[in-house]
Amino acid sequence: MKPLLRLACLAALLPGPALAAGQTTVDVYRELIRYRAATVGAEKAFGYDTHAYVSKFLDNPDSLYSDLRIDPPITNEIWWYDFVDSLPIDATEKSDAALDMLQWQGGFTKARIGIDVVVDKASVRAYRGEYAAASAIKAGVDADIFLKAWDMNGRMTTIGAGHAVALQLLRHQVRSNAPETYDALGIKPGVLSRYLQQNNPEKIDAFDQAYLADLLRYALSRQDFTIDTDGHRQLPAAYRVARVAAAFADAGGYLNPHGYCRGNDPHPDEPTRADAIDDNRPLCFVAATDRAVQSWFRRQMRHEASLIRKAHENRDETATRLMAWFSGALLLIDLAGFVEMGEAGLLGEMSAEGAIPEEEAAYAEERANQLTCRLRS
Amino acid sequence: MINRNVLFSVRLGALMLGLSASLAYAGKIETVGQFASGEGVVAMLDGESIFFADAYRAKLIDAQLDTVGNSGTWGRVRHGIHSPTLARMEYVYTKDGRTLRRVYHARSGPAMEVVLSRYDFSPSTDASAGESSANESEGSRPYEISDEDIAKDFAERVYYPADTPFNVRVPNLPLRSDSVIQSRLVGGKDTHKADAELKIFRQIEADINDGIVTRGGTLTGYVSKAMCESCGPASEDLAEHFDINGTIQQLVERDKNTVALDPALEASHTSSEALKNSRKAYASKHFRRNAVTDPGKRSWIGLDSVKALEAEEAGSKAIEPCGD
Repeated sequence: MKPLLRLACLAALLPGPALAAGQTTVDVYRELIRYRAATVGAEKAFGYDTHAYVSKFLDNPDSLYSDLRIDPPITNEIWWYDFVDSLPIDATEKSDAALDMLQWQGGFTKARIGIDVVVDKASVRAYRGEYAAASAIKAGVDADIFLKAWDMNGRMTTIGAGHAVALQLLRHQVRSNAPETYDALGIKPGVLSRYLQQNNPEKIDAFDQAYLADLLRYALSRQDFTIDTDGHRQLPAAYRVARVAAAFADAGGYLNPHGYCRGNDPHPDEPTRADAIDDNRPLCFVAATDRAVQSWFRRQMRHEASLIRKAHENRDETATRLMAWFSGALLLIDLAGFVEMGEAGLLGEMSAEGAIPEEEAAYAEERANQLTCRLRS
Repeated sequence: MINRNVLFSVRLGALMLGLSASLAYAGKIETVGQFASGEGVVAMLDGESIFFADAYRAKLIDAQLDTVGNSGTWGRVRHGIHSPTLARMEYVYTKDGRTLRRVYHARSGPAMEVVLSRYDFSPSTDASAGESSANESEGSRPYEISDEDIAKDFAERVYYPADTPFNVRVPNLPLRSDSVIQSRLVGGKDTHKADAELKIFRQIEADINDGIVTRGGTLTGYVSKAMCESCGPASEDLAEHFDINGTIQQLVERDKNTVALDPALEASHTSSEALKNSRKAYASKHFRRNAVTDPGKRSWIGLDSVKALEAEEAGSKAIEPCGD
């Protein structure tokens, strides 16, 4: 038995919560932003950039495979315990549970088999491999959706990943609501069933594609996580999509004879520094943080977009449809890791509620606008 | 020989039968109490909002307005773009034995050129009147439409994705005297011709008359606000004349002076706010002087764009002011 599979089987014997000690479903990041904005104001509370925020949680923020900091400075802040006490977390160690959630929401965790994700034998078969299973399970995408989206999109794995997460979001809505409410809630179960029954990607009609793209784009723009029908937390949509694309890459296999991992670690013959993705090289995805997988996704998406451009110089219907997925939805993943974006959205909400003055929200909005403006110009 | 009473009874019976048959075929579109909510609705209507906002991005660049005006002007531009009513309606019909679908997209108000002509892009405009001071109803304010405006709206099709048999951007249409869809006088004025819902009803009527779609289909609509005063009766006209059934679900804006006791209405208020926040955020990001970009631009494909993202994430990029 392969060492990883043995580890996976051992992990499967552990009770579920062993991998999820102290987990909460409270949106701790959202509460943190609200708490700090309300107590000290936006300008004072958010006087850091994304790099500084990441540095609070990762040992080496410039590494794709960084471990978590053992002593994250955020827990030493004088306000931390007051903040934690204000949270409706039902756990004996509220501070640990809150920190665990911030690490998970921020994309700082990995998908190591038996450590971060339980992978059983059935999952290994269903997702076409243990590494693929680890990333796909962490992304919270069911095996039937995973395989169908892969089959329908072939080499366009980043678009396939977008389809998979959109379909899973739809399945979540279908299962969470009574059929008689579907119309009022804009839930279209036919889009899911038609997709899963279809064998020809050209026959998924424009309406269904647009609906799925709308669902995904909105989930990406919200930048928050969801709780699924089983009460489990699901990663923010951007990290889900990136993880599914990584799972497709692992499931497809590599020409490289030793792959990119050894066990749960990067293969020693492969580069591990931040520039390891410069040549669009795959990572050892299970060992990489969600943020690192997202960084890889950006490059992979552009690689696939350039393939479309080369193959469809005349901008035919297929090219238009595929490019619409990139520019209409998946490009939002570029910005998902920036705390400036999430903070602006949350403070905008607070301002609309009248919880903070307009100027406080305007500060965060301007900071986010400056960032996107620089990136677009 | 049949006596007169029997003949009368037969005629009356035939009349009743005819009436009941015609009533059986008259369609009904439910609009009252149809409170939309939830992520699916917000996601769809947010998609509509981006569809129309992106047309403005292209139009502003084309009209060379992206580098002029001051902060007050751009505050009004943003407001004018994120506040109109949006409607998205899916019409499912049968033609030649096949079930087909056509989705109609509309926003309230006149052509973009007409909207933009309301703003003063000269540098002397008072900068103090920003977005927050704009009237909330300004973006979808009642508007009397002219033939010239209709022509401009039609010409602006170049800023939208091309219409297909399945997807149509609905412009303002010339009002035909034989149309069964008439806007009603509200407060003595006919000011609702440019409402998003009415635009779509008229387009469906035109499509039926032109043989593009057939009568007797099913309409499922979503509107970003409670339906306009004229639109309820107009939807009845559409349903009755063309035997159309369906529902039009509406997001309902919160009235700060009342508390919603109906959970469905409260959920609709919450979703309405979520949509507003999302639309405002998109407008804030894309509509600033010297920072409007062409939505069709593909420069993101280059690796330079990734390197810029990575430099920002690493905190190694010099921060210089961008846009106004």
